[in-house]
Amino acid sequence: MKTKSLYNISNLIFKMIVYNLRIIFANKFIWFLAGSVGFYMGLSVIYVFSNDVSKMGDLYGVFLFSGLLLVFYPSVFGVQNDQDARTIEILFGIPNYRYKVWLVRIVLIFAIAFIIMLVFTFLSSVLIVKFRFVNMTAQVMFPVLFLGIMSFMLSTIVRNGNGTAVLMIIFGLFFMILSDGLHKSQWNIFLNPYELPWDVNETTWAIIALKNRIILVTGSIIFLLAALYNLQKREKFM
Amino acid sequence: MNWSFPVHPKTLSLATPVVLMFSIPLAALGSLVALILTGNSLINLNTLTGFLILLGVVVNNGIILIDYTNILRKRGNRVHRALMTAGVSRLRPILITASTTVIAMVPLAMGQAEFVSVIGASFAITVIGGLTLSTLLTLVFIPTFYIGLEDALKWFYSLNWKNKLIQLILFTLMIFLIYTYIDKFLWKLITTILTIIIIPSGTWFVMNSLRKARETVISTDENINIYIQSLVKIYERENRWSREWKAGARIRKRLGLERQYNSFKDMGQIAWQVPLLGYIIYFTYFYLDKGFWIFLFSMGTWFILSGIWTSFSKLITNLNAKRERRWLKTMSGILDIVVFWIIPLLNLIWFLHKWENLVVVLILGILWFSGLLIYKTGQKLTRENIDIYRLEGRFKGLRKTFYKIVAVVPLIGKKKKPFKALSCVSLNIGNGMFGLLGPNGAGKTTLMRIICGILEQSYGKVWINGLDTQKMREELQGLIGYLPQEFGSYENMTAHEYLHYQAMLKNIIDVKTREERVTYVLNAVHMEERRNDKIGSYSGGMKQRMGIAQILLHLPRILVVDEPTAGLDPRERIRFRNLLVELSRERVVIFSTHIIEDISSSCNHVAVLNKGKLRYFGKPIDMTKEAEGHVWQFNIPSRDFGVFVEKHLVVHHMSEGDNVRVRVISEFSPWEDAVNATPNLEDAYLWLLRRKNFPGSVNNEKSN
Repeated sequence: MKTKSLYNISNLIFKMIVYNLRIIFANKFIWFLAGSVGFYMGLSVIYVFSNDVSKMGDLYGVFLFSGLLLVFYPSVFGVQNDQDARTIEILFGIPNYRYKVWLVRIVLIFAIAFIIMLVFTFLSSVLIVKFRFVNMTAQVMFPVLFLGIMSFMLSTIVRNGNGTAVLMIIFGLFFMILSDGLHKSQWNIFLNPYELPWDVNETTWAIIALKNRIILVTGSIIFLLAALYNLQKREKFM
Repeated sequence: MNWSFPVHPKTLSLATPVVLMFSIPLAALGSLVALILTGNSLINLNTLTGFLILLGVVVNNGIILIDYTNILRKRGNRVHRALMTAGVSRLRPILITASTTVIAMVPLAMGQAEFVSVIGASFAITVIGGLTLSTLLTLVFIPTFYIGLEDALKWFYSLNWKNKLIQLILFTLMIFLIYTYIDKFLWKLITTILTIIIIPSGTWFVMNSLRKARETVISTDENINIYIQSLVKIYERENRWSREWKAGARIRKRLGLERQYNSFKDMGQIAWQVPLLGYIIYFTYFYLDKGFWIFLFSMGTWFILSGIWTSFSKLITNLNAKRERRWLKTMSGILDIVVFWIIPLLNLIWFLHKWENLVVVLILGILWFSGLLIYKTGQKLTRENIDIYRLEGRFKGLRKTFYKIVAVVPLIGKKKKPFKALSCVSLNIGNGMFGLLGPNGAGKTTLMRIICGILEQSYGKVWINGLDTQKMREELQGLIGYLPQEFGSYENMTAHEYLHYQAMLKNIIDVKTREERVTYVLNAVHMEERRNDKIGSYSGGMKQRMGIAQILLHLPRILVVDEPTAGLDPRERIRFRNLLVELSRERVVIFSTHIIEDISSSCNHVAVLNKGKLRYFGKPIDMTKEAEGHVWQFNIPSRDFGVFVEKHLVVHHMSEGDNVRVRVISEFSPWEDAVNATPNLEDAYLWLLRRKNFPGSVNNEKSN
């Protein structure tokens, strides 16, 4: 009996991943994936041929941008794609649709992004400069998670992919402008843990980076709860 | 049903002092802004003295508003109406108190002499700034905070003891941590206030965002009963404050209390705004010298000027209505252009002179003029009731695009026009097949969506076994299955994949059961041979069958299907109808259609809707009784038929030599030798749609 239920659960997880991937990849996501790969490849080639040995801080920037490209489309346009495909009303008829449909998809999006980022960082650690690639991927995933879930939450408020994209670009620019002034603060969304400021000692920097990661994860959880709450307001999506 | 909402005494006694206490920071905020604006130091003895004097006046304003609100509520007013009435009736004393104090302080605030500018000015500016902002915010912040706090307290009292205890433990823990680890008094105060706010609001947030569907909310041995009580749905409905405000305005108009501008004498009502305008012009363009503040105050000046001009414009319109004066009309047009277009332009030129930054002025200009253009176009669209999708004439494509933008801009764009889709519908639906019959636009889909919790009603209630669907929306989702009228599916998936995905979402976890169920439903809709084809390659009818297959995967206790037989051929329609009848033995099946045959051959009960109103509710067999005495049959000469058919509702006709044999629905005999015929269901339906005088849905309910 236990074997049967284990088989059922593993089949469910596997099939859910496969079907959701088909849905996520159905639209323009493939182009964002291609963009991410292209961006990574382009910069990697430049690094390989440049005389300057790459700094970890710079690599973090490359991976961060690639990661953001990966999660941008599915998190911003996910809800609108269901509206366009006219499947939203069908989905609203499914009990606990918020968890079974959108939460599953958003988790999958980050899982895929994590795996692809692992491949990128692994390749860079072999081809460009040796570093702990799992560590780097984990560090990059914090701001990717924060901005991805923030855009998902915004898409449940704006309910329009293009509108959300514009808002996210404005917020992104705003965070980038702020990151100059806040470069040593835990409140900097784009805090680069590999760029140690010259006037901060390593222990203090590690504490700042840890606090920053806690803030990003807390923010992501709040945004996710807000998105799940917004998705209860079915009328607004009709 | 008790519709009155008594005020919880505990709620009122706790909410009032807290609300009043929170009006104090408003005063401080206004003072700070005014001091920064005028370049004075923030903390000194004079500003603190000014702040002390300010506190008394600000709290007093709050007390005036809240006290009268509480009196009105005790008299039976609802909270929104009570706050609005209190705001309107107490506006005058609040404004008089504030304005007399502000005016008295102005000379002191603007004093340039050495002694006055050092001691008196900062004191006066603190009072003026604090009083101005707090007076404005008192009318906005206090009502909002009052309602919010009261709702929060009501929610807290309604919680079970476990939730209250968890919050209490968390609160105690936080207070312990704050007073153990934080030294500075100010931070202790801030974190304590934050704890008071964050713990209950966080609990509310987590509880609400994580709500789940629960099938066990109604026990399995209990029969399902849906009671729809006076259901009203208004699309594009304004928010609650606007509705209450407009209702109040209508009452004032009815009582003759509305401001009228019929003669120059009536303009005395706004005379007080003229010195205010003069002062603000002097303050903005001659006294201030910082660009940002000049910009902010110039916007304020322009709004006051526009307000005064709108009143004058109404006067000119009214004077012209009495007696046409051409020069007055021309002058009004010119002044309108000056106020709305030229003055903003002059302002921009002034900013350019002050800032010498063309780029910033250009951006501001584009924003300002775009706003004006959208506002004016929005007014035109509303006033002339222009249908954006049926434009004629030159540049219609360009105009349509622009109008579409105007229509979606909130606040300043096109005003939305409310549309009532359901009007006081009451029904009782039990186990069995329930049909909703009505023409397109009758409100069938709206009613179904409300039952399923996809739309929220404007008024009225839907109870499922006594549970309010508005309060238990998420929990009740587990009981309801819904197939919308128009739906899509993931076109890049095959039928097999799509149905497996849907089955998993509907909790069919066991692999074998899922495969069997998918095969069963594919066979039931005759799609088995197309199982591995992509949905994108299906015809419209096949996609409809896919929708049906999908709802058959898992059968909830309430099944709502919106026009499922549309697009099916007669054989499939009959098969599907029979399937629904079979399913309805153990559950509620609500299905809408405009095919009468579907109803007559399958439904236990039927409701006929037309233009959002319930026209009939009862058994289909009894529906024919409604049309008794209103169905007529007779022969009419062929030459008269053309005229006759235009004036009467002819159900059908057949040529018989020189005559035409007709069957007509009419309240009275339509032809001299017409005889009454036995009505069928189709006659009854047409009669119900045509009938003008209804005895009321209550009478119809008796037939159930």
